[in-house]
Amino acid sequence: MIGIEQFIQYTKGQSILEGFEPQDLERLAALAKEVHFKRDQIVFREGENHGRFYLILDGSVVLEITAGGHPMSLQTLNGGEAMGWSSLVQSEGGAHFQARVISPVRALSFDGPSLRSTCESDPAFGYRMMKALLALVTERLDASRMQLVDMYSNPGAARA
Amino acid sequence: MTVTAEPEVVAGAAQMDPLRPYLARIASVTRETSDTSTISIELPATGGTPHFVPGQFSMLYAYGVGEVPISISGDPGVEGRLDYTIRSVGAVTTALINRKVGDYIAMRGPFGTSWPMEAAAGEDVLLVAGGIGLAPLRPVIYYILRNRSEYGRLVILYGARSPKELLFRKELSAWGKAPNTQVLTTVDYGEPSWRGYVGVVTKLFNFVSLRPERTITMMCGPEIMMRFGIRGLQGRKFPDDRIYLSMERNMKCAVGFCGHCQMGPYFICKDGPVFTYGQMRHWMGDLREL
Repeated sequence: MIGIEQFIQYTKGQSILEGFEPQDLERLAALAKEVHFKRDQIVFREGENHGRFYLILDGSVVLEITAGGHPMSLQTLNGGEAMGWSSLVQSEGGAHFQARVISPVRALSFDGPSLRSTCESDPAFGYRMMKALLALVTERLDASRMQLVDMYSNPGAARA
Repeated sequence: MTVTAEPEVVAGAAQMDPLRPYLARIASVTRETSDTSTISIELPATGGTPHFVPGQFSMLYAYGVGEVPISISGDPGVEGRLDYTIRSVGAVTTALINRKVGDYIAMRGPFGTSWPMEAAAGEDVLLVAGGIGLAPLRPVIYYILRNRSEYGRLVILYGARSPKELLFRKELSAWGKAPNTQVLTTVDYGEPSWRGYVGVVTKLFNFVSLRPERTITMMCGPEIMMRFGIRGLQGRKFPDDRIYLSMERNMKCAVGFCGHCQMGPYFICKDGPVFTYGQMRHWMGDLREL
């Protein structure tokens, strides 16, 4: 748990918290724990049921997936972004990606099941949490679609 | 190709017939990536008159294969040379980048409108490029760095499919060290050794701080990327008429006669290729070509 003033100061750049009420931030602060990861440290592995949700304060993490025996980087996450959101919507099942630190990370870590049960006991808070989560997932989905389009191959250009 | 007679080489845009191809000798070929090379052609000195303005393109003709529009990617301040960065996507572009030093191709142009170098004077400049789209913006970078005191901050955001497909890697690194200049690159997919950003180029907007009302944006890349880019800029309150785009369509005549490149009321070859987003707003996403 960290103090509310410190929590507000830490999470100034977190767009995911923009629609939250002051009492929501107090609830989150009560569940938050400051954590640090070193360069190249694995935050969670693909398939691992790590059960944690993170707000990255500083540093960078790359999400990787193993393909053909080799890790492939799919997205970098930086200060102001969140990761581990699947821990808020599912109690079973592991992470879809591996998260590896590429520059030292300071983050706020939340226990997924505790945060989920807070959402269930306070539906108004839970609604705002899920709305924020949906915005995050939509953004990730848009980014993934753009990557899938393989737009730099310039499908609209003349093949001359 | 073997040329026995003394060729009539290009003489500078002002003296050229726009419909007549002129011979041009290839002075150098530089491999940029596995499918992209920069060819330089020699030109006679003009006594300080620029051969082109940033944003213009030429029609390059590979003998016996065909003709394609290619943006000029070199330094407008360098006399006696024009550079073209070409990705092999078909028969003509493959033939062009496979030419050797001393070979001849034919060229028409330069044609088209320029990036807004005068309107951008005194302002911050944001360049957003995707894939081969960095090539038409490279003359802008050279121009600003050559006239550094006339411009505010220069921010270059560049996305490519993978680290191996990033163009001008050494120059990107050098540009990032220039005064008041920031360069951010991102790739769609990275190898474990890649320490840069991974993700779409529009995500890089989150890492720069610019004043929308004091910034001129110039964007070049696949149309899908530009549409997402515009959405990202609009979300950050960048005015439409301060966003400039370089449009691409299938061009043939390059002088507004044939209509192949028509987009709404505009001929991309003659009225463009550089437009404000305000001009293009109603026509982007309309994929029909005449």
